[in-house]
Amino acid sequence: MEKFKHNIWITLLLAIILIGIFGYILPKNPDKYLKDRFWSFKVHNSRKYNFIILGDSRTYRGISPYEIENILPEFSVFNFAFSNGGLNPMIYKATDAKLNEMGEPKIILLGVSALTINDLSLPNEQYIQELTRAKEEIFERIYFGEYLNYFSPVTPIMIKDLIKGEKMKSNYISIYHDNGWVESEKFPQDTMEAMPYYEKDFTIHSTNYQLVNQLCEQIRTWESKGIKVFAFRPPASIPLVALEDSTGNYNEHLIKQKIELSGGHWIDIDPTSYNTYDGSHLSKGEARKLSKYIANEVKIFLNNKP
Amino acid sequence: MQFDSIIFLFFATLFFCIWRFAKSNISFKLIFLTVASFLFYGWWDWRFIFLILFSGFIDYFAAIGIISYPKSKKLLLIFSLLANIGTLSIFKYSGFISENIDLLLGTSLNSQINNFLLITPIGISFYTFQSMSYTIDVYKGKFKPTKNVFQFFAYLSMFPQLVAGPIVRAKDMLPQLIGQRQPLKEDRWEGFRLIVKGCFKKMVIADNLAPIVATAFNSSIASENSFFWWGAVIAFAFQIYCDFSGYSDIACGLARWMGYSFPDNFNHPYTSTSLKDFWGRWHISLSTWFRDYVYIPLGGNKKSNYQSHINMWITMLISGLWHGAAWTYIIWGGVHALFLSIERIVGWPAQKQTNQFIRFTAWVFVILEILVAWVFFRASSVQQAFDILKTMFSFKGNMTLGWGLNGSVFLLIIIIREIMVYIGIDKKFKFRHSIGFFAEMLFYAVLITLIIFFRGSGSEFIYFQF
Repeated sequence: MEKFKHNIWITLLLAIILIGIFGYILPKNPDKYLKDRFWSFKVHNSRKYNFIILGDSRTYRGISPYEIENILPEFSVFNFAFSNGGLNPMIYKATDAKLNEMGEPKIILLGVSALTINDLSLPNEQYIQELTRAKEEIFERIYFGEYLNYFSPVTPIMIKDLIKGEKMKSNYISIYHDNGWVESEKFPQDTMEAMPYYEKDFTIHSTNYQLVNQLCEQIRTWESKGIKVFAFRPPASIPLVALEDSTGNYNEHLIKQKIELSGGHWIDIDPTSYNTYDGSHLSKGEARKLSKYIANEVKIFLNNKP
Repeated sequence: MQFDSIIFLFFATLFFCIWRFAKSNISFKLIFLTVASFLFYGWWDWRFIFLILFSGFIDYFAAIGIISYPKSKKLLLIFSLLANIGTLSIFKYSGFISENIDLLLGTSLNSQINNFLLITPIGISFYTFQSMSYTIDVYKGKFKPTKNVFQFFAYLSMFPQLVAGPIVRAKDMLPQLIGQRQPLKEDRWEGFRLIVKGCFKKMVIADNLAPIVATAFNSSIASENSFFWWGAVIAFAFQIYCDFSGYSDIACGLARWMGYSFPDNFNHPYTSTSLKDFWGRWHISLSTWFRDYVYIPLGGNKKSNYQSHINMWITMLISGLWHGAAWTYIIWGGVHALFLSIERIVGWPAQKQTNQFIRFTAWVFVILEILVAWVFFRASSVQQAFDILKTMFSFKGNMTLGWGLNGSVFLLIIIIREIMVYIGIDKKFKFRHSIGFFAEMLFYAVLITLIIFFRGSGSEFIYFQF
């Protein structure tokens, strides 16, 4: 009987010592917990905003709410874009819920890339994945992620690299902000990197103009409620823009026309004015530049409003 | 609430702190256990608590009615069975039934079903079966029903086993609930060991195999490499085993800490040398449930040989349907029934023990049978299952698995462990006799450390869906 007296406590103590040692020695991936927290917070935070940005990864990496708030201080801005984020009723409904019910004016900014209006992004998988995440996991990600990072899991390959003395190589820097922006940087830059992925996606799914019409219908609804809608085409490398136009069947002129006829306001972007690090995403400096430009365009519009 | 989550750690810590004081007062203990269990279940989706209450109250009153009105006892039993099976049919099978009716008659029933009814409540098959067996046992006169509603609901909803078993019998559990037994230090240590082992199986082995299996089965372009599919199916066999037996171990461990004893649910099923043996080692509480409440009432093997085969087929097909509302699960049950029938006809279990070579050959055959059946269990459609089997048995392609080091290490760990059991060398490593008590504590401390640092990406316990 005596031998069972304190053995659970002794085992736990031994475990704590071992965890302390291994936690110190084993490699860490701080990006993971920040990323997990970022996405859970993006979907589940209950804050309300009066300037919401929608789109895909080109938009959540490419538009900084900080710059917009600097130029338009009367707005609280939130970047509500997702990876493969589709512009469809699912996300419109979620956007309405994030809009501040009180106070005018309200603005929605749409980053309309070909990917946001094709069938591939229709399920809004990343948004749904976050939305349906277990409550406790959301709680852990938002409130304990930072502390749990010390215990972040490793893989046998990471151990192999550790033994061999090879350090984890990270040339892709992402800083996750609570306002939904991912400040990004990648070295070395390769503007052709994203091309094969887009080529594959666009071959299977090109622009769905039914979704464009649906978007226009939603713009009319928002405008009728006094919500101003602005849209732009997120800049990309010239070859990618060409691919988006051809294989992706993206007709910028037609889309702009349809959006403007629905009451929205199109902001023209010159893709040659912005440099991407992989052909489709803007680095932090370029994202700030684009955000300032868009904010100024919105400001001009609001100031000229009768 | 998942056993392998931080929130459960808080819940369990708080629960056991209060439990220390609650257990001396039986009434408070039963109320506390019931409330805590409902909180545990409601954390997932509080809307479905009413189902446990509905199922529970029907059986609670039906069982009392059976004793109070013996003349109407058959009627009460039928009412209870219909209510339970009806609930299960609505919340688990309505989508499947309507889909098949639509397919046969060209109707559009499925689209008219309320979305709420298409959500399968976690653990519904487990607590419905547990509730049904209570009334059946009272009807058969195996024990007298309890009039204490909290004792009944503490039995039905006890959180360690509520959502994924083991399915405990009322005659075993009800006396324990009103007993004054305090957990001994040995119980606490055994409970601790079970919890750590269970977490290791689930979080390290099953969760690290899960991405490999998901990648293989969810891919839109199926691999045409036989070796790849054999690897994926073996990975799934161990994923589901570690996932489910891990959950059972944690449940049994928690019960030990509470001073209760649950039946063993797994006993190294992949070391079986016959399918009959396998079903005596895999999900034992469910196998015995089907034996006692389906197979034996149908006549078991007491009637003709032909009839006993029919009874076994019915039992296995229902068992398949219990696991999921899809044809793949029914076929999984059918495949097991087919192989069990063949075993009976050729007298397999009796012939296998003659020598080591025959035992090994028998084991290889049984593993092959089980793997073939798992393909149906995991596949998303019958067509996908047949395609995979066709590729597996065409023996084409190269010898690559495409996993890299990550998946292989974890699969190897569990395979080595089961081989040790199969050849019997695991018994030589019993700590208390050879290495010593401190080594055992160190072993479990290392397991905890491995759980922390080698846990896979979390996913729900597979059996929650059943």
